[in-house]
Amino acid sequence: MKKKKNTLLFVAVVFFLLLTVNPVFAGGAEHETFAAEKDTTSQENVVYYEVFGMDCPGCQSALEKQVKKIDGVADAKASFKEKQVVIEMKPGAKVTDEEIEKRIKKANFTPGKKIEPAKNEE
Amino acid sequence: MKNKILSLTLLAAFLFSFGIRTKAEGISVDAGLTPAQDRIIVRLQYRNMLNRMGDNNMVMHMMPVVVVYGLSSDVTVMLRNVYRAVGTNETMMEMDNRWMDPFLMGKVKLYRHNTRVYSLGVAGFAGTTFPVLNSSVSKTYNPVIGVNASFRPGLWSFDLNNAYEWVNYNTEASRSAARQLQINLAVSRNILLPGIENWVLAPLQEFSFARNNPASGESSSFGFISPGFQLVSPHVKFETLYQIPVNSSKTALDYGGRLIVGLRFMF
Repeated sequence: MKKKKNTLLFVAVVFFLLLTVNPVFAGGAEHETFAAEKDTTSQENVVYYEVFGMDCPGCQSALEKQVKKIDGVADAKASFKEKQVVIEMKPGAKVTDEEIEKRIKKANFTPGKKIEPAKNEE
Repeated sequence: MKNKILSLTLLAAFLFSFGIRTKAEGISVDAGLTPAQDRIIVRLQYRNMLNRMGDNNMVMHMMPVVVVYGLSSDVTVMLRNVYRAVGTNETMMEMDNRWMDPFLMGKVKLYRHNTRVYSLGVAGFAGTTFPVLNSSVSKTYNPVIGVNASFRPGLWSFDLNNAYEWVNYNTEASRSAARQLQINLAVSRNILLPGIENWVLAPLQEFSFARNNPASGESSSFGFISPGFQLVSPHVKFETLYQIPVNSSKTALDYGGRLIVGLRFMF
C-alpha cells in the first residue's frame, strides 16, 4: 500500500516538474511552421506587428479574422507563442498602421511595435 | 501607481463580485475576457448529473447549446438552451424530457489590460431565462448578475467567476424560490504540444462554491472540486471536466459526481 502511494507521489512530482521545468512544456519551443511561413513570404508586401493579449490558439484565429477584414490585406497569420501577427498585403495595396492597430484593438488585443523585416541585400 | 491600481482592481473583483455561475456552466475559462468583435462561438456540451434524495437516485443528461456573438469588442451577447433527458428517476419529483427555457445574457468589458507578460480582464454580465418553453402554470424567470475576472500570466490562466441569481422568480408573486450566490475559480496551464502545430493541451482545476438561500427552509452551502482538461486549436476546443461534490449531503438534494464533455467551435 505504502509502495503504491510512493509510486503515485513520484508520478505526480514528475508531472509537475514537466509542467514547470521542461522548456518544451514551458513554452520555449520554437514556432517552426510560423517561422518558415515568414521566410517564404515576399518581404515587400509583409508587415509584422507585436500583439499582446493572445494566450491560446483560439486568440490567433480571432485576430486573423479581424485583420483579414482590412481592404488590401491578402492574408494574416497570428501566433500567440511569438506574440505577433504577420500581415501579407495585396500587391500595390496601401494599408495604414492606424487601420491595422484599430483591427487589433477590435479583437481585444493590444498592438505593440511594428517590426521592420530585414531588407534583402541582393 | 499603476501596479497599485491593478492590485486594487483584482482585489475588488474578488471582494465585490459576489454571485453565481449560470447553471449550464462549469468550465469557466475566458470568463473575464470578452471575445473579439464579430466573433461567433458555438458551444455544445453533454452533462451527466447524478442527484440523490435519500436512497433514491436521479440521473439526468443535460445538453446545453450555447451561441455567443461579439457585438463589439466591449459587448457580447449569449443565448443558451438546454435539452434535458431524464435517465433514472426514483424520486417523487416529476421530470420529463424537454427543452428548458432559453437563457439570454449580455456581457460587458469593464477592464482589459494586455502586456508582454500578462493579460487582465474584468467583465460584468446580466441575464435571465425566459418562460417561453415552460409548460407549467407559473411563469418564472431566473435573473442573474455577476462579475468575472481573468488573469493570464504567461501560459497560466486564472478565471474567477461570480454571480448572484434569483432562482425561479415569479412575477405574479413578486418573489423567487431561492437566491443563490456562486463563486467559481478555474486554474489552468497551457502545454504546447511538440510536433502538433497550433494545438494546446490545458489541464485545469476548478473550485466552485454555492450558497443557496431558499425562500422557505434552511440555507445551505456546497461546492465542487473539478479536475479536467481542454484541448485547444484555433477553431475548435474540446473540454472535459469531472465535478466532485463537497458538502452536498447537507442540502435537500444530495449531489453526486457530474461529468461534463464539450466542444466549442470558434468562427
